[in-house]
Amino acid sequence: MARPFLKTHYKQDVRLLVRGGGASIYGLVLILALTAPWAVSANMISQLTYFYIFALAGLSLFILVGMSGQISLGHGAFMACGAYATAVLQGSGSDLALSLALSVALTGVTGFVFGMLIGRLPRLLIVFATFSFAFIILEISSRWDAAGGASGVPVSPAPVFLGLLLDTGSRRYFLVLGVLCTALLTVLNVQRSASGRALRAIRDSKSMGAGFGVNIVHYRALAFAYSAGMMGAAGSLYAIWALVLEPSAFDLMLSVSLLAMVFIGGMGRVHGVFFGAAFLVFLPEGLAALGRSLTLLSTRTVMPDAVGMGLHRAAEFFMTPLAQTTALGLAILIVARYMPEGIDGVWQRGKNYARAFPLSPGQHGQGARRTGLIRDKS
Amino acid sequence: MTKPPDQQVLLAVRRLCGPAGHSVRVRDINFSLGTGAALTIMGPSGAGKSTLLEMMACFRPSASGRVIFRGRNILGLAAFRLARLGLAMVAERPCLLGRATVLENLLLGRHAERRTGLLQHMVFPPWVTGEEVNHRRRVEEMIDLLDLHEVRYEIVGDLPADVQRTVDLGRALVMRPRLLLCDEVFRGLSPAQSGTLSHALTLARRRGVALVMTQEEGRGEADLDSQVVRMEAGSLPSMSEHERAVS
Amino acid sequence: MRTERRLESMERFFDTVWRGLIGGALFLLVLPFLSFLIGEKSGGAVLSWGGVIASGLLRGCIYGLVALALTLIYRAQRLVNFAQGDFVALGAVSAFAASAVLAAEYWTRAALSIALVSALAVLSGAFVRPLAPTSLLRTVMATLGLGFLIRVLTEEIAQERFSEMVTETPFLGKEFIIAGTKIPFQGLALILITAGLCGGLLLFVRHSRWGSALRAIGCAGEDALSDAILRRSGLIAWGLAGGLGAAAGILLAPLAGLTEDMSLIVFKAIPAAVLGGFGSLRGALTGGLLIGAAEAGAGLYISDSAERMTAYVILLVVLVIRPRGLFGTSQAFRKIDGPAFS
Repeated sequence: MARPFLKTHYKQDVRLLVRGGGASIYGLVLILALTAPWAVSANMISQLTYFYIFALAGLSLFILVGMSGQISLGHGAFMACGAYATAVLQGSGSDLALSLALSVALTGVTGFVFGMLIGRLPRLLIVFATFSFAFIILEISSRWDAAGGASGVPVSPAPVFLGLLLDTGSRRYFLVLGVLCTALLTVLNVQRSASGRALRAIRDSKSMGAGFGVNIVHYRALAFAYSAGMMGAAGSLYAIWALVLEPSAFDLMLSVSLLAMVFIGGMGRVHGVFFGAAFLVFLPEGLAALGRSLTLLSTRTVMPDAVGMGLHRAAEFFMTPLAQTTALGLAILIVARYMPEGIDGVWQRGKNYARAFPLSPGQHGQGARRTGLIRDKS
Repeated sequence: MTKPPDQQVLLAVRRLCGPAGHSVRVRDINFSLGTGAALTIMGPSGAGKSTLLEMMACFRPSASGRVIFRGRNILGLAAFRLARLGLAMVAERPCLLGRATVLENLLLGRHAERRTGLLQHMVFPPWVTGEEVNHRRRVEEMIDLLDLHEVRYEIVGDLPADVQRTVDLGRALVMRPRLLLCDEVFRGLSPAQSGTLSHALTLARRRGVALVMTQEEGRGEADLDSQVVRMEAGSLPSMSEHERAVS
Repeated sequence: MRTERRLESMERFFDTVWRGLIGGALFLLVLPFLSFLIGEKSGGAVLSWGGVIASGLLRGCIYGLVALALTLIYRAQRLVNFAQGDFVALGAVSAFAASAVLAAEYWTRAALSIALVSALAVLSGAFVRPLAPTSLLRTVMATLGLGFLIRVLTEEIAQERFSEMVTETPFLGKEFIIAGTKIPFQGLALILITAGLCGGLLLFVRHSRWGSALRAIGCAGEDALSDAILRRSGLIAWGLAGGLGAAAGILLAPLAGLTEDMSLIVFKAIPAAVLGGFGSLRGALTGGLLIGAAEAGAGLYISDSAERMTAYVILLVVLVIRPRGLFGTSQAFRKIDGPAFS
C-alpha cells in the first residue's frame, strides 16, 4: 500500500461524481440548457426560467427537509421576503447583484434566528411554528405600504446585474440558470462534506446525533439559514421574472405546493427536486393537453352520446384550476402511500432493474439509504 | 499518598445517587480515576451497573451527587457537550445511525475534530478535500484495528449485534475520547472478537484514555490490566478508601 | 432523597400556579360575558367590551371543536389531520347548499351533512391509517393531499356560489328576554350546542371501550393493543372528527359566512390545541376559548391586522416558552414512555 496510491483512492471517494459515467449525461443536459435561448421560443424560455426558479426553491426545501429533517409548511414566507426585499432595493435603483446578495443575507439571518428558537422542539412542533411564521409574514406584507399593500408592487423590468443590463428574457434566463447551478453545486458539496454527515445524523435520529458530538440546535439552525437564504434567492429571482408582486402569490398554497413538489419528486437525491419541479410547473399544460386529447377523442370517434358527453365534461374539467388541485392531491396521496421515495425513487428502481436484468436487482440503491425520512417516525 | 505529577485525576464521582424519580437504584457511589487508568465494575445483573454508567454519561438524570470530569461537574450537560469534552460511551444499544454504512458512522465520529464549517463546505476548496482525506485515513486506521474491512460498506442496521458493538466501539474511539465508558462490551462476542476489542482498548489506554467498564459476573473475563470492584444492589461496598483512588 | 422530594414539591407548586392562572383567565373571560348579559342595564363601555369578548368566545367554541377533532385523531393515531379544516368547510357547504336543492329542514340538513362528512372521514382514516407508524413527512403530506381532494369536492358542491348561499338557521333573529335584557339566541345556541357536543364526547370517552382504548394508547403506546382494536379505534376517531368538523362548520357559517377560506380554520385550531396542551382533550377546548377571546381582544384594542395574527403569535410564544401548553405533558411528542396525555 504505497502512500500515493492511498491518497488517490480516498480522494476518489470524496469527489463530486463518484462514478465517472454520470458526467457525460449531466454535461449534455448543461449544454442543452445553455443553448436553449437560440433553439426555443421566447415563451418557452420564460417557462424554463420559471422552472429553474421553482427548482431553486425546491432545492432549498431539499436542504431543510431532505438533509436536516425539518419540515416547513411556511417556506413561501422566505420567498416573499426575498422577493419584496429585491423589489424595494431595485426600486431605489441598486444593482441586482447587490439586491440579490442582501435578500439572501436577510432571509438567511432570519432563518438562522428562527431555527435557533425552534430547533430544540420536536419535529411536529417545528411544522406548526413554520406555518405560523408564514401567516404572520403574509399578514404583514399585505398591510405594509412600502410593499404596496394588498395590490402588490411592480419591479423594474430592466435590472442591472454587475453593470450588465438584463433587458431580455434570455439574459434573465442565463442569470437564473447561473444562480441555480451555483446553488446546486453548493448542495452537492455539502452533501459529501462533514456538515452533510452531521445533518444526516440529526435528520435520522436526534439523540444519536448528540452522541456523536453534533450540536443539534446549532446544526438545525444552520440548515434553516442555508435553506432560507436559498429560498430568498429564489424569491429574488421570481421578482425579476414576474415583474409584479402580490401578497397572494406567496400564500399557504405556495408553501404547500413547494413541499408537495419536493415530496413527489423524491427527497433522496437532488435529482428528485428537478423531477418534482417539472411535475409542478408543467402540470397545467399536461392537464390541458389531456383535456384536448379527450375532446378530440370524443368528437372524432363514434361512441354513445352519454360517453361522449362524459368525456367532454371531463375535458372541460381538466382546463379548470380545480383540476390542478385534484391532480396535485392525487399525486401526493399516491406518493405518500405507494411511492414514498418519489419519482426519483421509481426512477432509480427502474435503473437498477434494467441494469441487473435478467437477474434481480438485489440491494436498494444509494437513494433509499440516504433518506431516513421514509421509514422512521421520531 | 502523593500522585506522580503526570497522573492527574480525570474523573471524580462523588456521592452519586439516582436515577431521578421514584426508583433509586444506585446509591452513594464514590471513586476517582486518573488518565489512562481502568476500572472494571463487576456484579450480578440488576445491581445497577448500567444505570450507573448511564447516569455518568448523562443519558439519565441523577438524583444527587456530582461527576467531575476534567475539572467540571458534568451532570445535566447536553449530550453533545459531553462528547466535545471527551466522554464517550458504548452502551447496550449502539449509538449508531442504523441506516448509514459503517464507514459513514465512523466518519461521523470524527465530527468533534473538524476544522471547517458549513460555509467552507459549500465551496469545497482543496483544504476541505484534504481534511476529508485525513478523516478517512484515521477512520481506515480504526477499521484496521478492529478488523472491520469486510463490513465497511454495509448498512449498520443489517449487521449482527456483535459486529454492531464493534462498530460502536470504533465510533467511540474515533472520537478520541479522554474517558470511555463501556457497558458489557464483551457480551456475546467470540474469542477472536474479544481479543480484537481488548487489543483496541489496551492501545487506547496507552494513549491515555481512561476506561470504566462493567461486566456481568461469570461472563468471559477480559484480559485487561484494570482494577476490579464489585457492585451490589446499587453501591460499591467492597471499595475501601484506599481503593477509591484508581490510578 | 431530599432532592427528590424537593423536585416533586416544586413540580406540584408550578402545576398549581399554572392551574391558578388558567382558572383566573377563564374567570376573567366569563366576567365580560356576564357583563354582556347584564350590560343593557349598566350600559356603555362595559357592554361593548363584554360584547366583543363574548363574540370572541363564540368563535373560540368553534376553534375548540375543531381542536378537539384534531386531538381525537392524534390520540388515536399520533398524526395531525391537516384536512380537518376541509371537513369543516365541506360540512358547512353541504348543509347549506342543500337548501336550494332539498328544501329540507335545518336539523335534517345538518344531520345529513354530518353523516356525509363522517363517512368521508372514515374513508380518509382508512386510507391514512397504514401511514401512521411511518414518518412524520408522509402523514403530513397525506393529510394535506386529502385536504386538497376534499376541497375540490367542496367547491364542486358549492359551484362557486359561496356568498349566495343562505345560511339561515332557526336561531337567527330570535332573542331571549330575561329580566329586561335581550340576549341573541344564535350565540346562546352555539354555546349550548358546543357544550352539549363536548359533554357527549366526554361521556363517550369516559365510558366507552373506545375511550379506554384511547387511554391505553396514551399510557402504553400502540404496541399495547391488537391491530384490530387499533384499526377500529382509529376509524372511530376519524368518524368523530369528521362529525365534529361538520358540526363546527354548520355552526360557523351563520357567524362568519361561507367563504373559500373556511378550510384554513385548521391553522387556527392548531394553536388552540398547542396552547391547551397538544393531545389533551380539555386542553383543546380551553385553548380554543382562549384563542377566540384573545383574538377578539386584539381586534378591539389593537387592530384588525393584529386580530388575524393573534393565534399565530400566541403559538410561537407558547412554543418558545412552554411547548407542552397548559394541560399537556412533555411526553406527548415522543415515543410513549409513560403517561403521555392528561
